[in-house]
Amino acid sequence: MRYRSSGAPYGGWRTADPYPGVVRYRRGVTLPLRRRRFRLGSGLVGVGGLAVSAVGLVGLAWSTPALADDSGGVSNLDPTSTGEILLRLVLVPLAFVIVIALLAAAPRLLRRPRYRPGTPWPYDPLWFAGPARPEAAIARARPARGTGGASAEW
Amino acid sequence: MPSGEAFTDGQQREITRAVTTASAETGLHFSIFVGNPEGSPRDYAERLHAALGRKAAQAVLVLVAPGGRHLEVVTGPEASRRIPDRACALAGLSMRAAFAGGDLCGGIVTGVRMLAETAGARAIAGGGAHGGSAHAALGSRH
Repeated sequence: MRYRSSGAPYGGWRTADPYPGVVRYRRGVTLPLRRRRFRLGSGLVGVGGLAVSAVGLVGLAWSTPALADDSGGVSNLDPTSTGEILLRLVLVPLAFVIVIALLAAAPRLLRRPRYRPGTPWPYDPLWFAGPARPEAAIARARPARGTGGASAEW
Repeated sequence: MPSGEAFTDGQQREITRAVTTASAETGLHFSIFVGNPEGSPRDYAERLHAALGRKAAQAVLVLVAPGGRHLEVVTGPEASRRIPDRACALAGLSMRAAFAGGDLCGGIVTGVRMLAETAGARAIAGGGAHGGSAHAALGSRH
């Protein structure tokens, strides 16, 4: 079992603390997105919404020339304008949708998963204001008598 | 898995600040262990407390085992005179409520502050004669 102690930081650096016996430390930079869980339900809703929007916009783009056709069946639409219509009616709104969706989902994606009681705790031990060498200190520790305290479960 | 991922940098700073402040205000040594114990949580907490060496007599060790949902508070002989077992149990109640709601950091900080306030009040009052060798039971343990 590995220990991390404020007195013996692993992979970080420490600075002197104004109070003796307590050493602050700071670990290296981590990417909070590394442990994100993709929520299937919200993801499907988002993808489905984007797909429906895209299909609707494509259909609207294709129907626009027909709706605007008032020349008695003779089309005067420039064939090269279809791509431009697609660009304006599909890609630009799609880009807006994606940007808004990302902005809406960003706080949830960046938030660290909250502890849920009953779930396993896969992390290494973390000891605040512990001994400088936790493993050695625990190995030679002999519990003394006369201690007090309390116990609880949740 | 790196331990640091269990808490954000801000949460670690918050806990460190609470521990530092409590130690400075009371003169006791507060220490917080968050992790899975080896064997009995109480026995492991007492080993951790003893591992603090010369500070053990004035030390208050709080063991939080999120996996097994155990909480242990161990006070050294001198610390237990200023923080009676009943106060430890009361702080444990508050911490337990926060942990059950998923707020580990908040529970730890609240518990440390409550323990420190108890120790400080006792010191101002001239030191209490409470405490003792037994540890109070809270919930179904001990």
